[in-house]
Amino acid sequence: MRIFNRVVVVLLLAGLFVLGVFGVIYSFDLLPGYRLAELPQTLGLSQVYDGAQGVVSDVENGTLTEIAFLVLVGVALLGLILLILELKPPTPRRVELQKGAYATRSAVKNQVLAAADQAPDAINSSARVKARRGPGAKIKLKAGVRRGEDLRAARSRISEQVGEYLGTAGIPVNRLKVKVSETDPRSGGGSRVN
Amino acid sequence: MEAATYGPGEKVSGVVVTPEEVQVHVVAAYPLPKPIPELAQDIRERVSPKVGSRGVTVVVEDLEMNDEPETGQAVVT
Repeated sequence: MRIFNRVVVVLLLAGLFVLGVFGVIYSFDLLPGYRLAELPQTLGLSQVYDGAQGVVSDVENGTLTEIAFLVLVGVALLGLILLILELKPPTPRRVELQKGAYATRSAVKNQVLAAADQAPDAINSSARVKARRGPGAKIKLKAGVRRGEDLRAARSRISEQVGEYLGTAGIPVNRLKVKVSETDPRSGGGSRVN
Repeated sequence: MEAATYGPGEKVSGVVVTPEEVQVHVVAAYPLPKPIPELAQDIRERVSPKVGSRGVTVVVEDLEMNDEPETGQAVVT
């Protein structure tokens, strides 16, 4: 979102700069033969102008085509979504343990993987950790189990193991999602997922 | 990004001082003698009297396995 915002702002400011330069040149007759009324044609915006005027006229007359109506609704929705995303406070980078104490996501991730490694069912595992506003981490753990294992029971055991391990370390967990899949330890591939 | 404070002629690693707070970045050694929040609280209690009105924030950067007999230390990164 930050990169998107920067791109939009850079384009907007570049456009304003160009318009400003042309505006000054035309308004003060700095170059002979240039008239302000001809600015849209000089900038090659006359077609855009005509198109915009046509759309505005259609809106006023209530004669919008279905596609134009859908496009306007889409633009409005996009604007609303971007506004909400902009107003939403950013997700914190660190996991809050308690007031004034934090752990980096990588530290929590390492603990999650260490906990999963201790579970007898898990063969190999990967984890994603997200911080949230407030104490606790959101954790997604993917673990492989041997073929033929009861996936639900394995998931329950791994989840319990990770929860207990993190609890002992004092890392609060807001949400723990464990996904297990059958894995052949020799190939590392998986088939059945739960 | 390294957590450090640059002073005249020296760099203090693991400590970030801002007008509002002092951040202490540590690597805790495993096995832990007590839960991480309690370790963080110990650090806060030791640092708080020395930083005036600034708040103290403890950031655990990592937990490392410690093979040495003396365990449970918090090492400033």
